[in-house]
Amino acid sequence: MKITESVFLDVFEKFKNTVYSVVFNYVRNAEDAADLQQDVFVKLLGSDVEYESEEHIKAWLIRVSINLCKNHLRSQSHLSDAPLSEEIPAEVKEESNDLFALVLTLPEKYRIPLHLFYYEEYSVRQIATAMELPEATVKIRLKRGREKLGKSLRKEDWF
Amino acid sequence: MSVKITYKQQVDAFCNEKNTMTAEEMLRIAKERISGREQPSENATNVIDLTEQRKKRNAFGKVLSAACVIIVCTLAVATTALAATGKLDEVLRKIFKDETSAELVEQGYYYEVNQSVTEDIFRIDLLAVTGDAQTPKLVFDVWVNDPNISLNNDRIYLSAYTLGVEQYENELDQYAMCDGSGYQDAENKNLYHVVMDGAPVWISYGEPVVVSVREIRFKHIARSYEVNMEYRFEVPPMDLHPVVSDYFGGVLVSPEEDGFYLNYANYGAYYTECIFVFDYDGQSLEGQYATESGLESLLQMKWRDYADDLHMVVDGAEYEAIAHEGGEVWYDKYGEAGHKNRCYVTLHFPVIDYRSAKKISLKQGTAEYRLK
Repeated sequence: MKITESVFLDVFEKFKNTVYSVVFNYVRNAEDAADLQQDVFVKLLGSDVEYESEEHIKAWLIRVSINLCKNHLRSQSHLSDAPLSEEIPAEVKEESNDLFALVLTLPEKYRIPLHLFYYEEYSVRQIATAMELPEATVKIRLKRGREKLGKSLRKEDWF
Repeated sequence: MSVKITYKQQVDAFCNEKNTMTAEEMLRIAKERISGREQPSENATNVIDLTEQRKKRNAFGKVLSAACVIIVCTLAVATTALAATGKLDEVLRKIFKDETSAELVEQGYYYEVNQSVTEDIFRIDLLAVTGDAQTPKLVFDVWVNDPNISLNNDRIYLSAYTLGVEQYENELDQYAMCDGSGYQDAENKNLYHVVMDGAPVWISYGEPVVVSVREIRFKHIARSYEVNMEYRFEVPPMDLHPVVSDYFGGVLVSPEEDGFYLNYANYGAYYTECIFVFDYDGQSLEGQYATESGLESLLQMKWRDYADDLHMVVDGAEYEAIAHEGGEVWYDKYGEAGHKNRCYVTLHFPVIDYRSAKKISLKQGTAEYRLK
């Protein structure tokens, strides 16, 4: 399947939230998330990949989103020698009763695997592939991410 | 309602509220940005071959010719001086405090790339590749033609892809960039020296490689400068310091029969790396630990207990491992690397002079396992 204009329109409708939620999970501000989402879909239209299926396109979009976010955060990090702040942005605090907002309060290494696991229903293996991490690392991060949320949620609710 | 469904609903509601762009708008923007990208740029890029010597080393001249065909236009050739060996080791030693790399250069373990690319206010010279086969290091000079930048910034940061040609041309989106950082030259404020660790899998084995610098950043400037400065070359494997690799194919190096087995010991110029495997009887352990995460935690604990007490002994001198916390366990549950339920772990020790060492062993408690 090549990315024609009609395929692009269809794919955007289906996967715009997939891309936006991943990039927002990384950058946690709407302005950067909108820019990064645009970058991802510009790459999609410009790509010359022969996709096997919609799932293949979705996996490609998630992989590209993650790489663009990593590059974006790296370009921000040079401004200070201090590590990037994990302080919760105001627009996340607004949704303080929200489960999504609760996940967003976690450190990046936990919230991205948790998001892919629960929103995309990705397997550990798929998350490992998308994030270029060993499966063991993904499992540990999922476990610890859940533990960190455990104070706010009943553990059995996560399964 | 399960947490999973609640989470999905909340994420969708959040995205729908914040993300109001229509598919048609996105298509229009994407088409505009792609067509804009294809327009001839005023910011011409030129690739310059700085040495005759490099041409003689391999067939790179053909690659350079191909690169010249696709550049937008060619400007006057810059006249950077060839990086003399003395200068290269001086930079590594004095500026980067990297005595190991400086010594490798002095011993002749480097490959002169000496290609220069100019874009906008930047000229980046990829001077050389040095290091060993498991840690190749790219050495750049970055010239900045903007006094305002040079005046206020003593640190510079580069991000670049370092990939094989196939990966660069067809699978770029699947790879993240490498980072390098550098310092302003003490005398010439327009000049910055940068060192970047490249990807050994492509650089160290004589394959055609592409280094593509994509971002330039400075410590006290909020924006980053996006560029596309490409260098294509091959590093003859003999030009990097060799890494002696001993394959053991799974020798038990543990008092317990279900312990860790050594697969490789790699003796490099920067560190000695041991790669271990551990085969789990998944049934019995999963019986004790209800979840896979529990099993993973057990693996981690078992590895740390083991590694804490592991030393490398070279002709009677004992060396502790270097920060094995960083070496996380990779558990191959599905046998993707050939063995189901096998876990792989790495441990780094200080540099060993393999050739002169008469006896090398791993010591775990009272047990000692001979490697050489």
